[in-house]
Amino acid sequence: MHSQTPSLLQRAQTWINSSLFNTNRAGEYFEYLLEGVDPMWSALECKARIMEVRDETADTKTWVLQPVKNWGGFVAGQHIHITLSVNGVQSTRTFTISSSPYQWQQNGTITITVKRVPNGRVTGWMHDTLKTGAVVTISQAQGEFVLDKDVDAPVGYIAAGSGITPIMSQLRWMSANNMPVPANLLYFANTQKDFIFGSEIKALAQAARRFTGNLIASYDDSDSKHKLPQSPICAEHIQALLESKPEQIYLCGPHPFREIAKQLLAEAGYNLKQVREEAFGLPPIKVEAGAPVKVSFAASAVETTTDQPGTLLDMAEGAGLTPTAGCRMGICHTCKCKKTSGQVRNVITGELSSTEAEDIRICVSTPVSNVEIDI
Amino acid sequence: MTTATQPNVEQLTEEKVQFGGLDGRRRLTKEQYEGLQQEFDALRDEIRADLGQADVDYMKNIIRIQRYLEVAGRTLIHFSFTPVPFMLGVAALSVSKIMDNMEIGHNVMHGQFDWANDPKMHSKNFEWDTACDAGSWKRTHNFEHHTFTNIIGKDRDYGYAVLRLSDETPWTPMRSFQTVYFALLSIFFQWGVALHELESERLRDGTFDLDEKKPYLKGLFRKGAKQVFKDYIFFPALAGPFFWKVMLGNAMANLGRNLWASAIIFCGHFTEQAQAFTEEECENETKGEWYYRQLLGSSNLSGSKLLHVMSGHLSYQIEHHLFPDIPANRYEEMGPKVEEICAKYGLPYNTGPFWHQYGTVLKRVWKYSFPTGGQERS
Repeated sequence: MHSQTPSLLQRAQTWINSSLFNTNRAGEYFEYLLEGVDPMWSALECKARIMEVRDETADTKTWVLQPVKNWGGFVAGQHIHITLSVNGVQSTRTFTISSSPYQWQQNGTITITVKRVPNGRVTGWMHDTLKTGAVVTISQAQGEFVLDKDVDAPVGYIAAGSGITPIMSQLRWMSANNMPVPANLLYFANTQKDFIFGSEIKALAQAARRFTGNLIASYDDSDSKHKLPQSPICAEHIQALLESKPEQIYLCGPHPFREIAKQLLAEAGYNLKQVREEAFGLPPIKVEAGAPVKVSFAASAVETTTDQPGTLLDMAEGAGLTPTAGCRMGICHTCKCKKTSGQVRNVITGELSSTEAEDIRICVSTPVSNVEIDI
Repeated sequence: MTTATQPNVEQLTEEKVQFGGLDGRRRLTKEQYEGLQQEFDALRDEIRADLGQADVDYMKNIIRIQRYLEVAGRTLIHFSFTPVPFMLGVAALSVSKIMDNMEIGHNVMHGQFDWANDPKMHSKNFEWDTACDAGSWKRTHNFEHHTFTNIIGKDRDYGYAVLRLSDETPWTPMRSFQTVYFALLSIFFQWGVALHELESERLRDGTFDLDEKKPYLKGLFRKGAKQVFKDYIFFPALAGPFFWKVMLGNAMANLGRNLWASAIIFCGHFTEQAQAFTEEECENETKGEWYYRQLLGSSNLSGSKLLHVMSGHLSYQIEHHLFPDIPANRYEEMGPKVEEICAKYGLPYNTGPFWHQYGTVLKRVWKYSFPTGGQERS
């Protein structure tokens, strides 16, 4: 996306704002004032109140959120960024909406369903501390993991673990609309106890003739080391799914799981262009062979040298610096900084940057040469 | 038994302290400097690990109060038709500017709240209500002053290149009038701070020429113009026929802020007992010696909670210099621990009430306007 050159009027407005309020956006000046009057008020952001917290599985909970009236709504399968204050540290994470748009239209609430990530700073805090009545900041809904309009062909779903959440939103939506198209779901989890919405999916499969749901556990409930014969995803599962001739397959789960699923689909002759993926988090960073790279954080006069570079954001934080950051996946641009020299690789697209000075998002950039960056 | 952590050193007597002088200064052994470093590092780590929601809430609350005061102050100045509400408006606006500059701006721009990851209180983005732009301040204050604290010739905050405050600075006839410069600097303090990076004294002696200062000058004019526009054009013009009244009110609010801010800042390093250092003695300085210099070069103010907040906690100048990036609202609990460590090593902990400390500043400015300066001791 290219930003347009601001018009004279816009520039004048920015100048006046910065003169009167010491910030380019006048709203920022009033933000804490509004928050002080009512935590749901904001001149810049959308706020949402936690209405209820429900347990789903041993390590997964659902939060019912009521966004402010002017929040723009969503399409089943989309996600939002949630910003919350974790022990004073403003943290942004991305979660899919697990509820149906029908629920939003009916009572103005949405739900997110979040699994506790082992050692996760934010999800752990949410599970322990984010209770009914709290207020969080949310973004508008976004994402392409949605049903196409006027769809009338069968769809297939492949999910693993908490990857069920955007699919659940779609299933609930279709169920509320009497299942307009046949849908087939393959859902993988460690044990029977780990299926999020397991009973709802089973009930839906019994009630709706056009919906088939397969819950496939990898391990026995009683002994997590006792592997069941049918696991994990294999050619037979894919074969069964493809028999329903899905026009579109929606795939959501951890990165390695998605790679295996796509490989199996390709081997079964399915066109991968008809596969839509939801990918959160960063793919594993490939370490490029070669000499160690040196990263200089110029403004802080800090230097680190490593032959195992992670993202520049991780490296800066590892060096004790605290650059601002938001989503940590290249979406929100909060972490944008000026790279003054050197070359970086975008870990999502694999794209190499120029070697010139330019703005980069440090959360998705890993150095491929010595890099100097203005942090 | 004497060990590094339990030094058996005699207390530093007042007679041994010279104004800015090097003689009689309590020196520590190598082991003691190391011990000092470990104790201060441990204190810093303890507080840093404890930072959390309460600190962020404190700063949000301060920003909220500052904004209420600014809105109230400007409204009162605008709609007052008798002197009392007008003066109340001036006071509110002045206090709001003081809070913006001291408890908010100064502390946020030190990166004290960067860990909170809130763009609205991150040192990268913060801009304040004064003529000096944030970038220039971060270069001259955060870097220059906090690295080279009280090293004569390197810390240009020491006397602001205007005042002679120790025998290390040579006397010239122009120094005779330095009480006048001091008064002018106090009155126009925001412009003095803004002009600091110009290094006019080094321009004059030819260390560099004006061309090298172009990027800085651009920033100065950009920020200065915005401040003039706000206080002397925009808000007065909004008042129409009461243009001059609003302009006067804003000028008075700025004056109040300038006098207060300069008084607090002078008390930080120019009090009677605050010591200066030479470049030679700071060569190859260890972290322990750096702490030692920060400690001896700074002085505190004792007083109420209100004084601490209104001074941006620079009343805890010693703690601020030891731990510039720890949120200032924590200095109050760190103070007694720092004082304890000082006592253990026989080092002075310079503190006193505001009027006493400011009195010693005035005395010092006066004294060093004479060639005899510090040597003239009764």
